[in-house]
Amino acid sequence: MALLMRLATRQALLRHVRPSSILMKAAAPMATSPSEQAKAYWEKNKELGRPVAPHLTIYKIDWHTLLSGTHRLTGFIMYTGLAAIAAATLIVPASYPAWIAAIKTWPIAIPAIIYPAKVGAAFTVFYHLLNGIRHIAWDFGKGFAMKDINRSGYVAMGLALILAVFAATIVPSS
Amino acid sequence: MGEPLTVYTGHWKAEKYLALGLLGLVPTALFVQHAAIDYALAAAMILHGHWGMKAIIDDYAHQGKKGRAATPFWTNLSIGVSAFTFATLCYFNYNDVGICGAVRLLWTIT
Repeated sequence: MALLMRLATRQALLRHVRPSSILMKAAAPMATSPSEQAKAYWEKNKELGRPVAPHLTIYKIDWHTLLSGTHRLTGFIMYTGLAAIAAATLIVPASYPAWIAAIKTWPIAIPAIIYPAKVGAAFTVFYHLLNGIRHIAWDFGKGFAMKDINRSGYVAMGLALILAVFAATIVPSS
Repeated sequence: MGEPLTVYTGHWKAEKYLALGLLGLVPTALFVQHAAIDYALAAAMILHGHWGMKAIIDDYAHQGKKGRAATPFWTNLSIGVSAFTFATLCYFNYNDVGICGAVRLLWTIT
């Protein structure tokens, strides 16, 4: 049976490599090295006007999509936020402690606004840190079983929420 | 394309070691305040963030049907923003309360 299959497959393959085949005219030119092959691939894509990834809209959004997207989003928020705050420290007059003292007198400086803001800020840091541990484990080739991926995802999200709610209650002495 | 593949594996490894370093540095900074931690945080956070932004730009700001390479505008802008933010954070560490002190003071608002 296996021999029969092999013979049949070889026959099919041979048909494709026959030089007279009309398929050969549409195929990408033969390249010798991986980088040349990649170059030929992208040039062919350009010629054909194929759409380019990422196709964010064509996949079903599920739990893992949200975990992964949240990781990138939290990282993006921290980087752009840090850049904006750094720029602000140069532009605005007065020192950082003076600004903190001033903000404490603003009417929006009430627990109903400050506490949720702190939970959000702490969650951003803790989620990116904890989900980052998952990424490092994957980079070492560990934790790819679907069961492990699900469990570590729940732990990262759950622990980040708990730590954020807890961290927001801490008020430093000075 | 055309570059030896070791360029990419070396960069990939550097990214992972830096991420591991930050994984130790950030929890340490929550409990220990020191000028050395402030400067280490400034350098590590900006480089980690810069490489993260590079991944985002490579994914979303490529030239579409014109080619896979990232648009030079966004690549150049990200280099400018990273360099500027790093310099400003060093200035802030030297002349003001520093990164750890800033988070601590921010958290005193209730």
